[in-house]
Amino acid sequence: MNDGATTTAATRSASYWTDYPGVANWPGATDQHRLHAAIDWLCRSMDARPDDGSCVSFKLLKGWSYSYPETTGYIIPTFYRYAAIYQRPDIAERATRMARWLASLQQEDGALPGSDYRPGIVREPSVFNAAQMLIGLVAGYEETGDESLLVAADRAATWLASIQNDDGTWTKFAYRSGFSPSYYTRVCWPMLMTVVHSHNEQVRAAAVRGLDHIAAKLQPNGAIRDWGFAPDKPAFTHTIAYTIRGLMEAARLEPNHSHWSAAAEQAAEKIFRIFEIRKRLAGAYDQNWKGTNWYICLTGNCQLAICWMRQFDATGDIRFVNAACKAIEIVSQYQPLRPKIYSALKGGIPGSAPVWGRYLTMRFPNWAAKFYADALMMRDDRLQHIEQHPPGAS
Amino acid sequence: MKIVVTSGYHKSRHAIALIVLLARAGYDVGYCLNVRTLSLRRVRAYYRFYGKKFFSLVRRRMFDSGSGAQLHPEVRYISEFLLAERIAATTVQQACKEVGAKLLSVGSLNDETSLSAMRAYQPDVIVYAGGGILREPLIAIPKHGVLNAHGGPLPKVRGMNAAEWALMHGLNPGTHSHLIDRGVDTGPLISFNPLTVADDDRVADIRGKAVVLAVQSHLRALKMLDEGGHWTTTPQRPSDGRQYFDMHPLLLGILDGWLAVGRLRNLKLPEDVKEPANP
Repeated sequence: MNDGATTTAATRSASYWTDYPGVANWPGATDQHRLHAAIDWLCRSMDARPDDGSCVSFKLLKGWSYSYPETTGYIIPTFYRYAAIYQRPDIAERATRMARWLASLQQEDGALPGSDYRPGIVREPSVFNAAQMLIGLVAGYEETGDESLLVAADRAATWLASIQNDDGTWTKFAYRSGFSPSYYTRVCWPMLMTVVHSHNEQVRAAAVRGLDHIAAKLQPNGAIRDWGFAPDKPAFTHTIAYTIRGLMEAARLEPNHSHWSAAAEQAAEKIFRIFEIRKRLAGAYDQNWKGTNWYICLTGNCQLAICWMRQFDATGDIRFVNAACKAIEIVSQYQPLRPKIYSALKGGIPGSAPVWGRYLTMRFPNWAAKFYADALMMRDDRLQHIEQHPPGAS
Repeated sequence: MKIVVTSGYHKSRHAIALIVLLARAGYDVGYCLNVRTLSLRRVRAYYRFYGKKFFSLVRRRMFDSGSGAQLHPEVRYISEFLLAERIAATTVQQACKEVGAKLLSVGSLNDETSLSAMRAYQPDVIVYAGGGILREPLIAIPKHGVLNAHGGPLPKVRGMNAAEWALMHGLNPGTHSHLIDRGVDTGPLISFNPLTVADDDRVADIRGKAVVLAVQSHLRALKMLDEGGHWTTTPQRPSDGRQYFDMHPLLLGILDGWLAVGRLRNLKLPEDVKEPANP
């Protein structure tokens, strides 16, 4: 009934080999099959190039693209987590290779490159991309104890602190020159993750400045100004969730800053209500929560499901897990398990639904599969927790 | 007392039971406002709500002959109740004919047809038995208000699947009689009618029992009004409770698992209620 929410890691591992061929039984595949298929797709995205990065996406017209250091960074903890739950050392070994590959890309001043990876081409650094790579470097250090990964992370975090403006914004090395978006909460959070191990006060102070600046952009209606790719344009649910998650996770690492979690909770609750009342999320929302409804940003669904589950962790309010289950279920409908054209699509998640939607049009990005896998694993954990703690149980 | 009953669809057992039993109790049931099932707006709203499940629900309702043998537990309890009360009507139309009430089919309870009929009739109470969200103009018409039997303890559990959410929080499910206002289950409270959860009950049984209890709650609340001339109500504050939404099958599965192994035995009642009363 609950897709293995109550199974132990051992039985999950045992069932992996027997259940997985059942993926062919579309549409009867369970969420366990879907999770395995998403991880397999991510492995194929890694194997498609000779380096140890994961390809940015599979394009319907062009096939696999180049490796993408940014999202390779945050796929690393997903792989470690999956490897631990399903006892797959081969997946953990892949994650470690990814982390070492990222460290190998570091530039002399500690910066990490933006854009995709093409051998022989030196890319300009990027604030956001570097921070996502920090997530992978820190996860690699935590998993392997390899000090060189922590050194690389600390150098990158110090570089991020060094190029920050006095008001807590970053305007250099940005996706859109001169624009410091609110989803840079997801720059500050990885900086704080690094500080947990490096104890670098300069980095911590920069992250706090950045988060204070963004938390002040909370509007009375629960929206946060500038949380899209461009100012005054509707924000994809992808970047909305980036913003909320960054604030939430940073508040957990720095509990004295309750206004970060308050801002995150207000935004998360607002979009939760919109989702529950309308039964779906729009692909993007403007500052007045007017949705662009003709497509869904699927990765945004998964990311918001994750935010809601983190909200449950903080408040114990089961409504958020309930909404997360529904948001994930919508995404599951769009995961091809028996694709008729490209077998490479099997297990991937498209950027938009329909696939010609405005977010990553006709592409299957690696971060959609990553956040889908994260959401499924988190959901099973939370359901297991709820099941083991009936009301009034001692 | 002039009563109007609403109905969500033409075979609503809940509405049929209310129309007949209210008339038998001596109330003047003047109208039944039945929301037409076949309205594009309604189909679209339901499809948005239920998704692909909508089609199987339609099939079930269209071909549900009313025989008890294969009924889902949610429907079985109210069907058995109709049988026990010797109510032979199987449609709202038949029930109205039996008691001499007018049946008014409307696209929405809030549309002009409905409003003008109600303004002309001036009911004392509208008894809500389904049909969608009510708007201010209709709510303002009846002298004593619109009576609802909410499926869970208020103000704690507002909104959808209230019995399930009550169980999820270790609260005794039951029906809470209250008056409808502009908010979602935020109107003044009349009384809570708890139901007993038997050892072998599952979620579907509790939902089924709650439908029967809702009919009985309406009768009790109207009797209170009849005897006292007015309802003694307790206001709610919006901050006193949370709004819940339809429960995902994965959580329903957990609830059923708890019920099956007896982990929901010490359900809490609201402070002012002493004993649960089975329907």
